[in-house]
Amino acid sequence: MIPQIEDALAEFLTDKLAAPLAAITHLVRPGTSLDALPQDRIVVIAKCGDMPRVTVNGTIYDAMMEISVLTPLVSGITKAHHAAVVIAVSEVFVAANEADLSTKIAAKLPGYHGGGFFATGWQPGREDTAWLPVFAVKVGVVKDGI
Amino acid sequence: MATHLNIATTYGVTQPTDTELEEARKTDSVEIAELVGGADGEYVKADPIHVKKVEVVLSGDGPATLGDVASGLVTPPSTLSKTSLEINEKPNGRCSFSLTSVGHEAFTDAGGATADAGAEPTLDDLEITSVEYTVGESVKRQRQVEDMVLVGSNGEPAARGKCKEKGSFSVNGRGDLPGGVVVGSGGAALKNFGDGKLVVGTLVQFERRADWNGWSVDGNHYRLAS
Repeated sequence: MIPQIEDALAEFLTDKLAAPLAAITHLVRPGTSLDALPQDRIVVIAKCGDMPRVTVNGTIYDAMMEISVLTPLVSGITKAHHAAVVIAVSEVFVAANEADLSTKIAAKLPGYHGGGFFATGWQPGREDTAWLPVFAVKVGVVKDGI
Repeated sequence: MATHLNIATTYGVTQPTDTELEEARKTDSVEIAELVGGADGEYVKADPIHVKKVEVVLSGDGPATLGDVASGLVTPPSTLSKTSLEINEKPNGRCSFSLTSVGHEAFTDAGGATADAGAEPTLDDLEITSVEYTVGESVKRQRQVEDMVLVGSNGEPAARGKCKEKGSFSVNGRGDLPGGVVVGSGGAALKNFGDGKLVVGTLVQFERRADWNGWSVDGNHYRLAS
């Protein structure tokens, strides 16, 4: 369940960041990806930190998503690039985009769909996030038919 | 409207400008006219009256306009009209508001049949069993009687009886309001509340910022009424 939600969020972010970050080489990947971390571009990681059940019978979940922006120290990538990616990530989570994320979740996790999201903003980094601040978003996951 | 996070509706009331909503809550309520029979002192009739009160409360961050709450005729009576506004301010914090709008509608009881549902819970159950609503959060069922004691001349109990048996219930859930849950007769279905008459007196629907939408229903069960 968590890998599917991370995949859905990664695809959603890939779509939504394409336009604002057209001039910045970047990659969006889910937290459970086993691929090697590229060192030549900014990487946006969509990770699920926690996914508690809201209801006892599992019809509603709160997927607590954490989005990190990793910027390697290489020539050609500047602080301005990092800032642009951070801002673009912050601006993705508006009500108008809820339906798109719901569709992605439904495609990756049959039998479920998205129930909207609420972004609480940038949270302090922890050791498991390489001390990077994370953009925290509560994503609702609802069983179909509810 | 599907089960969702955040606030998707303000139930017909306009949100004050330059505000962010914390919660939108709508309460439908009807009074229940009860009749106790003379033969055995039990509730023999229980029917909702012909007025339904609709109350919508919007609360959140930001200011609202005190002048919007004013006296005057409201036509038609069902119009959601502002009756109360509270604005709070504090240092190092944004101002907040709570705006109440009320309407009074003509109510015709749909006369739904009381229905049994679910199963009685057992010690092994780690779930709600007495209702069949998919996203139930909590269920409370109660049955009580009025205990009457006649004290004799010597100050000691001389006679005692119990009458006016009445059940009550409260069901809370998340997501959309389940089908068949309405204000009035037969507006909910619970285990062992299927005989006699069940009347929903209060129905609440709410939507909250960063939280799932939800509902709650409260009412009475009159086992010996028709």
